[in-house]
Amino acid sequence: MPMRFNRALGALGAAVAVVAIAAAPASAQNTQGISDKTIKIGNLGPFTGESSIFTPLNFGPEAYLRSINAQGGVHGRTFETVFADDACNEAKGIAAAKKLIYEDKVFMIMGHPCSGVAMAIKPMLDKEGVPWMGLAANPKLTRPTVPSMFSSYTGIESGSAMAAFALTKPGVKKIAIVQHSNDWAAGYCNPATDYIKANGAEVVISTAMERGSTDATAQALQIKQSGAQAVMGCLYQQELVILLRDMAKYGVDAIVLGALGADFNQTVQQVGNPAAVKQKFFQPYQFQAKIGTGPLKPYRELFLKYLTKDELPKSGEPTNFYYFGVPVGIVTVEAFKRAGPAPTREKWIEAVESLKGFETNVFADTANFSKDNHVGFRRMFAVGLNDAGEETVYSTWGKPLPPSGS
Amino acid sequence: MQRSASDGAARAVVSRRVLWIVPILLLPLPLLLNPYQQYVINLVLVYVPVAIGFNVVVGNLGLLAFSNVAFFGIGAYTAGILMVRLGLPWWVAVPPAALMGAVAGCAASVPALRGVRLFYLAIMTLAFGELMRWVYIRWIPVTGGSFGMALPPPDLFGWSLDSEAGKFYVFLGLVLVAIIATDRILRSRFGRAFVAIKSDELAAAAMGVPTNRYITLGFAWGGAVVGVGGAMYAALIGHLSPPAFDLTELILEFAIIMVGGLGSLVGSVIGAVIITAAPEFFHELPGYQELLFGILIVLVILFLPRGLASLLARAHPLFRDRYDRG
Repeated sequence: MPMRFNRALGALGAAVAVVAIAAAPASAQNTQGISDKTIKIGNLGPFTGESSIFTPLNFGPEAYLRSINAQGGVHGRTFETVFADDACNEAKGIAAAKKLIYEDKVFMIMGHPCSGVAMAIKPMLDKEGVPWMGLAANPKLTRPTVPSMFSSYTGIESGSAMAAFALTKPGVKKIAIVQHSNDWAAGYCNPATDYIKANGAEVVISTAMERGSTDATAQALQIKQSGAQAVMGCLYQQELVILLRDMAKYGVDAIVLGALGADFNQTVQQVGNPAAVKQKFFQPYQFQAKIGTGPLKPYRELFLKYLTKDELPKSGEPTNFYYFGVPVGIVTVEAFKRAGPAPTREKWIEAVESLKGFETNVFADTANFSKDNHVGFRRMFAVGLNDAGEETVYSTWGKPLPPSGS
Repeated sequence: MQRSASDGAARAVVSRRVLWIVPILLLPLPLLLNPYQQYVINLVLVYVPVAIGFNVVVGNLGLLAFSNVAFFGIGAYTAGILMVRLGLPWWVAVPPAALMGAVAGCAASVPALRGVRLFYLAIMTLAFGELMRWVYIRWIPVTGGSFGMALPPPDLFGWSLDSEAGKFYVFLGLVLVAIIATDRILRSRFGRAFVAIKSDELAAAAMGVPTNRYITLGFAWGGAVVGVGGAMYAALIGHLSPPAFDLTELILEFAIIMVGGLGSLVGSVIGAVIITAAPEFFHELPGYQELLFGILIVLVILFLPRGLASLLARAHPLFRDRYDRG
């Protein structure tokens, strides 16, 4: 009897398994998330954990969507955002993205997940045809092109811009690389290294500085000993601040080009020593003007109007990352306008690919996408403090851009 | 008297068989859940063997060794490398992942065999995990370095496991094998030797228990089971990168066995369920997730030092799997 019972139980189990597999999940529909009145969008990013300093990249485009909603939306539909936290962890990131797609049933995902998370969710987005518009340092995300995935910038543009600016300083031939041992840093420093080598300069040392480091004495002394005239600092803000402080402390005479994991203004403030940053510290700069001024001024007002106190910095003043993120929202909305009153995922993707010379009034470059190119922006300047200690945007070493009214 | 003892043993065997209802009840889950919920269940299943292996070393052997994340990474990367570099199917890569986990376990046991204990052993085994992370980052041609490695979809004898449902059944099978095999080991003379070593290593050695051999075996078995968990992780995530095997991961794994119950197989399962799935219930409370999570761990450690498994054990003798109580 027990034997027969066991067999019956086994057979039942096998039958259930076969039926379950046969009822495999259907692919998400290409109009999922679109109703008569709303467009549901997922906003994925590291809202918790040590990478949560990047959340302004998610709030920038969200502010833009809210401003569009206030104007009545696009073709009569307003945007409804569902936030999802990837905590910069691949396992959690996949869970968050799956929740957005299969439970919240969003039309598309927008935002700034960590590069590792973005790479981990890439096969799923590709398989389901869920559009993604965002930022991630890892160039492999959109190169080669994946039909549904679009990026504003990747590490290739930023890393090359870091190296290119350093090499415009007369006499710079020896360059040091200081980077975290992660994919984000490699996303910036690998293209920078390629650019340096391709342009006749030399990488004299390449050294690691790990997350959570509280001292950069070893790195500073290594740079000093190597005779490097410039440093590519592919570091997050906290460690970049420490490197700048320690380089000043040990009298290292080299300029530092930081990657886009740090906010320029906050970094300058946190170093707290003008001599350590004035004409010493620079970052790639993707904007048309100084943030909050000229064509960027309306965006400052937009952030202040549409973001809550919790979504803005404690100081209340939107930082670089809010502006860096907002074109993702602008391009997303423009694609919905072009996709017409009955948008589908295919139409939205075609609309993004149709953007040529599209002006965001934020970035220095215009948006240029095509079927074979899903990275929309390339041109970058550099930002630093001039001799008077004023934030200045440079096209090349010593050549500031003309001021653009405030 | 003899008859009564024999009846009791038979009743215990019959009672334990009731536990088979649990996996059978789980079989229809893919019919009821969407792919997101299935993924979370699969992630829980990945962490069951990871917790079981960790618990064998920390809970059953009583050694404060933190090399678990190294075994996890070695299992995952072994499977990933075999799939990507040699083009082997995932199911073929699972046994080598277990084997490499076992080899890593033997290597990690060396400090313990040299008499290193407590915090010294903790630090040395912690360093093993960090050393492995360095290898993942620096051995670029093989591991893909910082950018990591994208893996092809897993399969089982040519049957694609691309869907979460497919992975669920294979993972459930592997988890059952890990649970049954570990249960058998812990109930055998090996398990009794583990108990003796945990209770008083010197006395065990004096009684003729070859402690070094059993410590090595404990580490090797723990490493092998965690290695299988690593291979499951590789199949589930489809992308391997060094940050997935860092200190944060170790803390998560330690929290699983602490909350579930040290030295308890049931506890390993409960801990994996609670710690892996709980964050998914806090999506609506961004920012408070970590706080609530921390409070849960503190409460369990304060009021249930033997973990949540002790609650179940109090409720029904069926769940009393504390091998150190005979």
